[in-house]
Amino acid sequence: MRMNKLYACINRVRSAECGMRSASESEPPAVAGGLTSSGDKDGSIAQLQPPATAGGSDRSLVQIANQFSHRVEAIDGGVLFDVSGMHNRIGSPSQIAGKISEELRKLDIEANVAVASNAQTAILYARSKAGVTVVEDKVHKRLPLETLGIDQDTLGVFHTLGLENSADLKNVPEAELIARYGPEFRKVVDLINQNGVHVLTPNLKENHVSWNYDLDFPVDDFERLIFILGHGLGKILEETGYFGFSSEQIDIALKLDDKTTAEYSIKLSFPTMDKAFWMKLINLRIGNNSPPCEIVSIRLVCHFARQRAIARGLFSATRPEPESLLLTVDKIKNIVGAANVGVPVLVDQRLPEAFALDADKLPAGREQKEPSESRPVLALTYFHPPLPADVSIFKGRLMYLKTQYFAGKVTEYGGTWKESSQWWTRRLWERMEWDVELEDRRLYRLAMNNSEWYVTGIYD
Amino acid sequence: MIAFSQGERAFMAHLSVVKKLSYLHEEQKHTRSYLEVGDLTLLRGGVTEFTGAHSAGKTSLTLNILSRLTQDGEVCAVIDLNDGFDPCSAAANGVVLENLLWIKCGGKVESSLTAADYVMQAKGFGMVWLNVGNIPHKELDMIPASYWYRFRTKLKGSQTLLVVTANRSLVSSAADQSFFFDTYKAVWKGTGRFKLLDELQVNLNTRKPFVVKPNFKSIGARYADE
Repeated sequence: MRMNKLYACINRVRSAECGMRSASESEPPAVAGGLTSSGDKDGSIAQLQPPATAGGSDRSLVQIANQFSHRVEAIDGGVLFDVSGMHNRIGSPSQIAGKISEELRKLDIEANVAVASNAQTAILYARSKAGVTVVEDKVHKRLPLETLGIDQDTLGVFHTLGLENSADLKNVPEAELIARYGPEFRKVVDLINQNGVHVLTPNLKENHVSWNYDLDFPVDDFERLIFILGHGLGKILEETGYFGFSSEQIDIALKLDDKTTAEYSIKLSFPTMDKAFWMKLINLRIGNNSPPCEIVSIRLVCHFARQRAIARGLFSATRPEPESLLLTVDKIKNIVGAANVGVPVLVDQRLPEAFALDADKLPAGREQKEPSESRPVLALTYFHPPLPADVSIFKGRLMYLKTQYFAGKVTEYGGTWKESSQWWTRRLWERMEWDVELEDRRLYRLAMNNSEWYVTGIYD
Repeated sequence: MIAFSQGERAFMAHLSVVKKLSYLHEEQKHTRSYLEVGDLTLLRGGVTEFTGAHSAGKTSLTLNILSRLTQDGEVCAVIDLNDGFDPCSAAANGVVLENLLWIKCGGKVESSLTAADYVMQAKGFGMVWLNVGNIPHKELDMIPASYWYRFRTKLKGSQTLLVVTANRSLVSSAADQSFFFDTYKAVWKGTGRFKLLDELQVNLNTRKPFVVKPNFKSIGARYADE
C-alpha cells in the first residue's frame, strides 16, 4: 500500500495506566535513532519538558511520536501524528506501525496503534481496536457501533433492527440513513467510509531542546571545547529548525570539576539560526568570563522562538544587520567595558547630567514619523572630570576665570541656575550654574558646589 | 609615425579610454551619494573632518547632521573619546536617541580608534562620529596617519559617513571633506544681570574641494525650560 498521506494514532490502554511507569518524572530518554538521532555516544538531544499536553496525553507518548514526526497532536488519551513519507525510511504502513509498537514496548507502554490514510480513521481504530491496526484504503474493518459516536436512542433502534457493527451499517444505503437521522448523521457515514474531516493540528508546546556532552577528562581551557560546542550547537539548531522555529536564547551550563556549575545565558533581541554567529557570541561571552575551574560536562539548551519576519520598505534606510550589530557591540564592550556601550536615554529629573547609558539596549533604527528640519541648537560637551577653577568676583559680578588649561576675563554671563531637585538627598539645590563667555569668545558652563568652583563643560 | 588631423585628434580624445586625472576625479565624485543637511553637502562613504577651537560650533553642527539621519531611521554611532557627549543637547537638536549607539572610551585614544574600526566593519551605519576634541595634542600626535587612510578605504563604496571632530586637523589628506570652524561672536539677550545666551555665530570654511560653498552659520541656544 502506498499512500500520499498517512497518519498514526497511539491510544493508551486505560486499564493499564495505574501500573505503568511514569516517564514524565524521570530523566527524558534520549531521542536516539528516528528522525533526530544524534549518533553520538555521549552527546544526545533531548526535548525538555515537552508538552503540557492537551487532552491528558503524556510525555512518553509524545516522545515516541516525535521520533517519527514533528507534526504531533495530543488528543484525549493518546497522540495523533503525521507519518507521511516514512515509507522511504521505514517501509510499508505495517512496518511503520510495527516500529511504533516496538518503541512502545521499549518503554513498557501498553497502548493501541492504528495507521491510516485518514486522521479520523486512525483515531477511531486506535480507540476501538486493541493492538496494532493498519487500515488500508477501501478495506473496511468491523467496528462496534458504540465507537462511532452515535447517540443512545439511535443505537437502540439499530440494535432492534439487528445492526451490530459498522459493516452492517455500511450495507444500508447512505441516502436513507441521512434522510431518516438528519444531516448530522453524515459524519458517521463519513467515518465508516474513511472520509473523516479531522485535521491534524499540532498542539504541543515544546519550548526548547537541549544537548549534553560528558567529557572523558576535565578540560581547563574553554577554547579547547569550541569544536565540541560547535558540534552540539549545530545539532540543537538543526533540531530547532526541524520544529519550524528559530531561537533567541541559548543557555550554556558547564559542570565543573569542583561539583559546581557555571551557567551562561545568551539572550538576543531577535531570533536567528546562524550557527557561526552563535558560536562567535558564545566565544565572546564565555571568553570574557571563563569558568574558574576545569570543565567536565557541557549542556546546551536552545529556546524556541518564532522565526524572524523581515518586512522593510523599499525606500527604508539601511542599517546594520542585527547579528553584525550585536557582535560589534560585544567586541567593543570587551575593549571599553560592558557598561560603556549602549543607547543614551534621558532621565526625567532636574539633575546636572540628566541622562544615562542603557548598556542592555541596541539601537532600534526606528524611523521618525514626522521628521523635523531644524536649525542647529547650541550643544554642550562635558569635561570629565570637571575642571577645578578659580573665579574672581567683584561687587557680586563674575570677573575672571582661571583653570589649569585656560584663563580669561569674563565678558558676559547668564545665571544663576540651581540644579538637583532630589529632595530626598541632602544635595537639595546645592549646586549653582552659570553660562560664561570669556574674552576669547569661548563659552563655558561654570558651576559652584560647596563654595568650590568647577568648569563642567563647554558650549560647542 | 601616423599623423592625425586636428579633427581626428579631437574625435579620438572624445573616445579615449584614458581620461584626464581631473576628469576621473570629478567622475568618481559624482558616483557617490550626498547628504544635504541645511546648506551643507556632505559626501557619503568618506571621511569628513570638522576642526576648530572650543565654542566653534563643531558639536552643534554634527548633532544637526545626526538628527537628520536618525530621524530617517538610520543607525548612527557616537564614539566619545572623552565621555563628554551630552544626550540632552542631542535630543534638543532633534537626534532620535534610540537610533544612536554611544560608545564611551574613557579618554583612551587607542580604544576609540579600535571601536571606530569595528563599527565601520559592521557596515550599515549611517554615520559614525568620532569625537577626539579636548584631548592633549601630544596624544593625538601619536595616532598614525595610516589609521585615517585605513578608515577611508573601509568606507569606500559604503553609505557610511565618518565625521571626525577635533580641535585641530588630524585626518589631513585622508579626509574627503575638511571644514574649519571659527567663532564669530556669541549673542546674548536680556539686560543687566538677567542675560541668556541667544545664539552663537560661526564662520565655516573649507580647505578641500567643496560641492556647495560653505558659509556663515548661526547656532541658536535653547534652554531646557523653554
